[in-house]
Amino acid sequence: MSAALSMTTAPATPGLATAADPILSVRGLSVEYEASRPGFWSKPTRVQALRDISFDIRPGETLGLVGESGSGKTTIGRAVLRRIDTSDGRILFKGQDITNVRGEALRKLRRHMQLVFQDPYASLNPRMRVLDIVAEPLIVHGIVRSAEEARDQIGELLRLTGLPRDAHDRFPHAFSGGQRQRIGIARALALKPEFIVADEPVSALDVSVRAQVVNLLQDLQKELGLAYLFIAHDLSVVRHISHRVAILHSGRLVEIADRDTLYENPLHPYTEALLSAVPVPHPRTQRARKRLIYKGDIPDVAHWPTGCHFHARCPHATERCSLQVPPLVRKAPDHQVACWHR
Amino acid sequence: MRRFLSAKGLVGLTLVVLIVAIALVAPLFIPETAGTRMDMRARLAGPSLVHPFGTDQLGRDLLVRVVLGAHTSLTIAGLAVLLSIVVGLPLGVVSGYYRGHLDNLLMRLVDTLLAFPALLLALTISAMLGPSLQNTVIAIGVAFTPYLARIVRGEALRVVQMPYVEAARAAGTSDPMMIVRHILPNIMPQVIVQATISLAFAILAEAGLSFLGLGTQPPASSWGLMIQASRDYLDRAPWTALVPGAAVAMTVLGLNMFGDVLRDVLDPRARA
Repeated sequence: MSAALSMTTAPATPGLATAADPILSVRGLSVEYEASRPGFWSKPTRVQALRDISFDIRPGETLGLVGESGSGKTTIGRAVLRRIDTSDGRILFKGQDITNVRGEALRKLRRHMQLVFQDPYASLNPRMRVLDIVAEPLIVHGIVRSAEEARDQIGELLRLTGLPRDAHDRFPHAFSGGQRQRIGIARALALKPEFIVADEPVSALDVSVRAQVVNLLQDLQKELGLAYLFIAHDLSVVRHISHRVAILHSGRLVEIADRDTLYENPLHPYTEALLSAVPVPHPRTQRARKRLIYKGDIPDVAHWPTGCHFHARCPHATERCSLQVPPLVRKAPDHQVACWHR
Repeated sequence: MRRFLSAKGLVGLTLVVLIVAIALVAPLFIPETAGTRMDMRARLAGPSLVHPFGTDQLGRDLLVRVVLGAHTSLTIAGLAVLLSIVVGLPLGVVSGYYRGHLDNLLMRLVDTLLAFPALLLALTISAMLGPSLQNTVIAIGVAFTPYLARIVRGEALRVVQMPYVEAARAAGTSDPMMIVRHILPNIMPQVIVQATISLAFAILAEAGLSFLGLGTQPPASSWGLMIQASRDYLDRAPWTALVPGAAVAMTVLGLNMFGDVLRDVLDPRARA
């Protein structure tokens, strides 16, 4: 427990977030999903999951992506990995436009960007040995011909991710949740990617194990210079691991800033409300804090309101907010917010 | 392994092993003529030391015939189930994995076949092709294929949306490799369980077809044929129906119990 608490105050890996060229740039990204067909012959109705998303991730940097359920966090992850098609906007990876990459080029691209999953139980094939699981990306890309050939290489990956030496020939169910997540991380690292999308990698783990896995991700970042898109809804974990944080609200980015600015000086009313919900590990401070609770429901994805998606719940909302979408405006060198009143 | 040692597992396993062993070994020791040797003085004789299970209307020994019949019945049922897997498994996997129009097309085809009761379908096919061992296998195999394809497709749909398939996709795994490495191993347990249960139904189907005169042809012996022959003598010599009937019942019971336990054993979570 103490490990979990201390982690909220420890700093994110220092010195790695530089002003280098971004490894990933997203510009004006929109994603639509096909929803149900009203009738057999009619066209399926379309639901906008993401609208006009723009952000950068620099090499060796962690961008924390926070938002409530259904806000589109996972969709962003899937879109930048090119697992789903975009309806608008561009995705640039190391300066190369990958928005419409397909086939063999896409397969090659996958070597550079990998994925860590939320559920450490369902993300490992229960009928494969750890060796086969971690070696699969290497076999797929023709780096080795068989899992046995990669045994030493995999051993190194297992050591790197803190797994026991004899893990090779065991099956996933022989491991705990935290260890399984380490196997998933080892698999993601096998191809030596530069960029990893971590989709709620610790949400399914016990609090005590969470800190270990988060620290492992940080250590790996330091050692291998990885860039992360870290998707989460736990604000204290995000604060610990991220260099910069983006707040997503029903398909739109409402605020993006470097970590300390965002936590110390949030500008968007939604960010304020989110931060006020984080418990502080001190009773007196916790009692003295003001909880901001905004009434109203999360807007339905299928029927988004006009204007700012937050206006129905926002205490500062005016008529303008319900009519016009506030653009993401730069308020400080590394602080952008989408609100008419800030 | 311990689950096989439950009462159900033991009974099922014993029955299946015993009957399969008899079906395999009996033809090696019993000359084929023994099944057709007639004893005219002991027609429809009750159980005795010479004929432990009695004799039929032609004075043939029922023990010998039921043992030889095991071979015929299990061979036909086994081959039929094998046929349904060979055809149904690829159909189901392709349908569940690729989805879309192909899935729609294949599954409407399967739905059409499913609209007919399996036995009626087997009967029709058998009647069209004419009675022979080979045609009985085809008839039963084709009739069982849609059931297997449906189950396989459902399982494939379940496995395809598992995160480990997404992980393999993220790694760039091709479709054939995905099917071989991730889909098939994870649907095989259900296929095996379904196969044991199908085997039980196939034995019943073979017996049914033979009873109606479309399956095994005399003088070869099969359980269904024996039951068919016995129906005129049920009042005078009930054992002529009871002996093959009990053989069918025991095999089906054994296979079903075996399949039940197999389902539990093949669950990966149960493996240590």
